[in-house]
Amino acid sequence: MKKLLTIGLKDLRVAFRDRAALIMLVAPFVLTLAMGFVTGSFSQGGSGLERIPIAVVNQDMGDLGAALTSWLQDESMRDLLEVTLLDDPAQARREVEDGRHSGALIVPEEFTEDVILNPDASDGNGGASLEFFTNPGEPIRANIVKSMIDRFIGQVEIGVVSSQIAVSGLVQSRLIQPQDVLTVGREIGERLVTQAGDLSLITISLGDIEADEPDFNPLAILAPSMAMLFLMYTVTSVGGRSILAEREEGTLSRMLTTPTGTAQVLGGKVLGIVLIGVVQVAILITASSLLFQLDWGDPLAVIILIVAAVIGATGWGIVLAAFASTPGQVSNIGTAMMLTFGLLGGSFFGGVGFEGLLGMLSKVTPNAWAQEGFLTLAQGGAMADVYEPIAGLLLMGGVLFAVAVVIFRRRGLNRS
Amino acid sequence: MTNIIETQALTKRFNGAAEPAVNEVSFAVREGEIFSLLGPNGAGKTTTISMLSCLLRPTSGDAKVAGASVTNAPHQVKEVIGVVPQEIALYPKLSARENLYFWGRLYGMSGGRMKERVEEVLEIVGLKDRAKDRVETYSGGMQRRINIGVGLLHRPKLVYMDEPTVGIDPQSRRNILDTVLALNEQGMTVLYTTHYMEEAQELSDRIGIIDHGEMIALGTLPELTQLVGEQDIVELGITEEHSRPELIKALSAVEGVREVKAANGNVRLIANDGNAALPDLITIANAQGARISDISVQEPNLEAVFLHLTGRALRD
Repeated sequence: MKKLLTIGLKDLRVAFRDRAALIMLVAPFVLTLAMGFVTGSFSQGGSGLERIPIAVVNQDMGDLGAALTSWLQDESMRDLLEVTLLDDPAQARREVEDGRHSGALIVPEEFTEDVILNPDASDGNGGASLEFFTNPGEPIRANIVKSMIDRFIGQVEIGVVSSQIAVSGLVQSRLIQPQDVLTVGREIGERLVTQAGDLSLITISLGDIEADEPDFNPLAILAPSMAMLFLMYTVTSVGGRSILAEREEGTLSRMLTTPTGTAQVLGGKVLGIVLIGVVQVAILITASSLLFQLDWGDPLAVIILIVAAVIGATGWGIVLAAFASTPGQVSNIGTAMMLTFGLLGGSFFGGVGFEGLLGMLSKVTPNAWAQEGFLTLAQGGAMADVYEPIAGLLLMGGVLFAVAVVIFRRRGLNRS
Repeated sequence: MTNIIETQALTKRFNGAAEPAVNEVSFAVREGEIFSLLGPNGAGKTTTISMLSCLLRPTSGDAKVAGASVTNAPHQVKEVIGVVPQEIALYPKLSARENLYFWGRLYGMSGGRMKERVEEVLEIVGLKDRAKDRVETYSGGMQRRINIGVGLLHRPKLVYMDEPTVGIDPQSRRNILDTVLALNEQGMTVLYTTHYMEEAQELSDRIGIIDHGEMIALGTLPELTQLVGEQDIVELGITEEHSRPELIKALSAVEGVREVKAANGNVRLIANDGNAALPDLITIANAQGARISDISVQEPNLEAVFLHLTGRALRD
């Protein structure tokens, strides 16, 4: 065990003195830091997103514009939006250009009329439309507001379609006459519009941010994704590569001329990779906790999950080293593996994975298991809630180590 | 004197190779001596050392190091040997002292014993002043010296040095050769491989000449030079275009000349008395129209032995 630790700590020390490896160690943190600035998490104490300032110009003569404006100013939105009501669309646009607002929503005069009487907005002949001007420098904030408005519009469209079906049904059942369709339709439409403006029907949902969970930080999704993405690179291109590099540089042979067994040397190398991986993820977690007040959840569960994630990922690194012949091969395949696993495991989509066959395939990636676990813990889950991802990752690591040992035994650790 | 190494028909055949890299090599190294394996590149020296270090498993045959078999008791063998590999097997990002501590731990050392020994080794290799510097900042010669130092850390009874002077400046080479002699004076047995005849001549108590994986001669320097008798090597600098078969035939006919061979812009001859044969050799060369650019006469040495045994020069 002493020799394992000696080899593992040596690898950690060498990694900290290697500029390229050091960059990889801090890369996920730097990237998350950048995302923190973009999403406003850095400047905020406690909650995730900073309030997004938007200007709203409601020119609508009907009820729908008022309902939308009222909804945006509702108490439940106060943690997310800072709404300024203006009268002049030109002024609203200017203020967005000046950077005073992240976006400006212009509700046109005939908005309610168009939604109810001419709902087919996609036919190119008019229809209802909202104008939303955004600040190109703040794309994420603009997208958040846009998707909230889309949600509102979605509810309205449901109301409109419902009214059309209802009117059509009334005509077919001859409960109303065709000449009364316009009047009845308007009446039903206005009622549904009012209901659409009813907050009980609308839940604010942007990805995983919900109105009733305003304190959830989007970095809790982004940071583990970045961590797993770069962890895969580290365990393959830094860790797995180091076995091949030691073989090429003769230090592996030299280790084997000392009274140190092959299993001890391999175990030490694996420990080194695990230590480097743990340090990388720990840097990200510690720094994001301190700088962004990001709550990763139950500390003990987080630590165990980190170790499990690194072991799962290291398994892939060792298997790669066992199959490859040169450090260059490990680097190339390692990069491809990082990208493939990142896509398959959902690291590029904020931890959102695939469903169906791809979803099943994603379970071969440590990314999918670990992100699921981190998200569960960040949402307040306990240790018992992450037993499955932890077990999945440990099993993955165990199986892959066994495969690597078989290959190393067959081909020789020193490949001579 | 007891033997610290005994090999019996040691053989290594690599997968797919037509010929074995080492073929039934048997020799013994006595405790306390410097034994050199001399041979050209690719002769099988490093493969032999690798089998004696338990890095390679022999295809057949066996070797005993300090009484332990390299095939059956590799751990025991590794306890008594120190290995200085041909390549610089160090961590460039670590300092010399950090490297020594790392390797010392792998040799099972710790605590005050290791601290004391690391400082001693730094003294032996003359790098105490630079001990804190990273190895990557060292010259090639300094790296070679630390590379040797690692092999000495645990005071091995037997140290293998595989071509430790390759690619370094004359001053560093001198330093390394002096270190080898000093270690041997302290009682350490040294198995030294080289393709430099001069090093083998200067250092060795006994020399084994190896070529194409076979031990072709073994003995002390006088015993080996006896193989070619009291013969000299005469080298004539004659360009290849002038080294025609007629010239070689004419030179071979000179009295006292035993062998003639043309290679790399030289005509090399073995003669009973080089100085006596020289006037006739020059006359014949002139008569054949061959311009001589250089002449040297060497007394019997390992080069002559190798030439005599293989028909090739060591560096061919």
